[in-house]
Amino acid sequence: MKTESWKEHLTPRRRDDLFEHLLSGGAKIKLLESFIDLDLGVVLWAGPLPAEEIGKKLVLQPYRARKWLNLLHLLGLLEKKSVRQEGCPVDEIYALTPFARSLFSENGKLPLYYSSKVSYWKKAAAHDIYEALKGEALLQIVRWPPQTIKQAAAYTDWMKISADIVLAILQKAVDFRKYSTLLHVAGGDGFIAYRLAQLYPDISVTVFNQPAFAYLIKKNIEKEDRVVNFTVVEGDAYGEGSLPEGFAGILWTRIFSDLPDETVLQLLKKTRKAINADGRVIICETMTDGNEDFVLTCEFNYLFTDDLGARLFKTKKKYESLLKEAGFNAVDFHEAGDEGMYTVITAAPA
Amino acid sequence: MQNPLFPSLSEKDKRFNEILAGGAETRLLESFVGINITELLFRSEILSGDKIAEALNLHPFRVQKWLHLLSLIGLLEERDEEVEGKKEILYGLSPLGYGLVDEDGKVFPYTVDKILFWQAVAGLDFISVLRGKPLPLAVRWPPRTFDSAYHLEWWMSSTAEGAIKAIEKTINLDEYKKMLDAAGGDGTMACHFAKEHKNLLVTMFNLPHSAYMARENIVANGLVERVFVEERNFLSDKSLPEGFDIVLWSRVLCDWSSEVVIGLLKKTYRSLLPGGEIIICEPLIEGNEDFIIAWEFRYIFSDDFGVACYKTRNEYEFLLHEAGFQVCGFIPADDESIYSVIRAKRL
Repeated sequence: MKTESWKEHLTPRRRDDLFEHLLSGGAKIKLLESFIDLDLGVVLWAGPLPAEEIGKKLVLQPYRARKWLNLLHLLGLLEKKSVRQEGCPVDEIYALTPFARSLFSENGKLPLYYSSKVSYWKKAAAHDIYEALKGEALLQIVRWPPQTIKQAAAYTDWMKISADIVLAILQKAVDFRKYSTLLHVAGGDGFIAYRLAQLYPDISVTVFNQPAFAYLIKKNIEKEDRVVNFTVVEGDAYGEGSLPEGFAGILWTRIFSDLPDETVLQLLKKTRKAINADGRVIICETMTDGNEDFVLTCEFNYLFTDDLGARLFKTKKKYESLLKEAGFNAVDFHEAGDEGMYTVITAAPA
Repeated sequence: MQNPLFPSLSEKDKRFNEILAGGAETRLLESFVGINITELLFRSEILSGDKIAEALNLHPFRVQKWLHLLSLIGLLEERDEEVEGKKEILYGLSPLGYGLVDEDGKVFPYTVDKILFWQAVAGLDFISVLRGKPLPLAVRWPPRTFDSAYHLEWWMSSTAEGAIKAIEKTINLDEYKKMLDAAGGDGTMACHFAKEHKNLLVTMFNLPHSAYMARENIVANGLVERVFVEERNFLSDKSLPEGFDIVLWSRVLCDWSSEVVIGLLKKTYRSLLPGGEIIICEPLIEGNEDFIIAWEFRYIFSDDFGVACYKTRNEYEFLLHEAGFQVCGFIPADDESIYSVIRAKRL
């Protein structure tokens, strides 16, 4: 394709819109950061306020505050009502939009799930992308695998924030009553496996994880009511060894989207060896399809983390092809819906 | 039960992630322009990550991530290919990537300029700016020097084609005799309309530096008998030139708040003959949301610009009505440009 032939694919307007979308992203994130850092959610939680009053409460220069509030309105975080005198707007009254309200807890504060995402972005944004691309030594944003118990705990804390959502989606997508034995590989701090063991007393649930995580799991279940159908097995799914064998169901949640295709293929081949002939592998992951913005932010953060590879998030089609190569046939898809961004794929040995 | 007014969990996450991803998108766009990858891929058409890393002297592992990210945001296209029996991922410019470069593979100066404008404000502490920090980098209005006026008019003439087409699709200028092109840049549009519509006499006005550029343009185009220039400041002057059957405001009103625009529309009313028409050609908020967020964000860093300069169609129509006009036509922006056109008659 040379110079003018791009016009066969894009109109000039579309080209400009796509460019403007990329360019406006920097302004959008700055606006979101300022919205959070200035606690505007708290200021407006009780109800609408005039621009002038918001500016006073937040100690802002009044003229620039009005421009800022108008931009937050354009971004969809604030609703705006203009008060006019002789046809001219003289003041603006702002309220949180339903979207903005839905982001916050009852006190107008941003929950950890969202504030952590912004913190991760700020860590990535602090890097000079040119120096990083030239090979500058990086303070890794995340370490994989975790080097210490503390890093493992930080990782499981982050995963726990959305574990309830994963559990709810799994229950919707999979009839666990059909399984007598279930292996949850690399199951974080064991939260999901333990809840499944509690919810389905007839299933024998095993969680398999590296020593640091296994230690955290054992520590966590000390606080819980004991269940007899839950076992922790220490091991390294990523190493040379195999997975524990003889399971009707083998569950992988939120692991494959952090690993390159070649590694996922190896893990699926190990899964194929470990699973019963009539068993099912259950994969619950964020697919690229429909989650483009989330995927972009994560992969951008990974640019500054040499422990993590390139092209980690995968399409549904890619999962199907990896499963096939490992000796499975996908038998059911539960697409991501209103409850969250996770898709569940169930596959049977071919 | 979920409040029907509130977005679902997925919808909420999607919208949050969309805003959050903006930071990565702009950073990647900046690097795409800053690392000269366009010239390399324009020459070679398609290359592996290793070859790109070698040619641009970049870290071989991180460059793979970067190239994939540029593909995710649509600036590159990646495809798996067999090269000498080995599977490789190859990268080339996408249609969008090609659309941003000239015949040498260099990113258009206008596009680079927009990125530079963003970079000039991106490094400032935003909250300090909101608290009133002085702004040494602000775009000033009116331009203080000939160079800054020249830069502004270069921008306006580089992007005039889309506006000209939008206007000519909306209105038959052969039916008019005397046009006023209000704040008509360096005369690019006035000269075009006079050339294309032989019946038309066009008067344009602008500030002294721009008026000088317009005179040079008129002479160069051989239009001294049909295009006329006046030096005026539409903000401080009490009136505009008078006696026209059509007055054009193109790409001016979107830089001013409604308080200023209503004053300009009232002045326009007086410069039109009874039954005359005002033509407003501007980017509206509707359909140009990203473009407008980028611009309005930059206006925070320029106290010479007002609050909420970009407007909806409704706002323009309301202001026209308040100034004594009756709206008689509207043509929304099409595939060629971001400009919509509103026509209104002096009652």
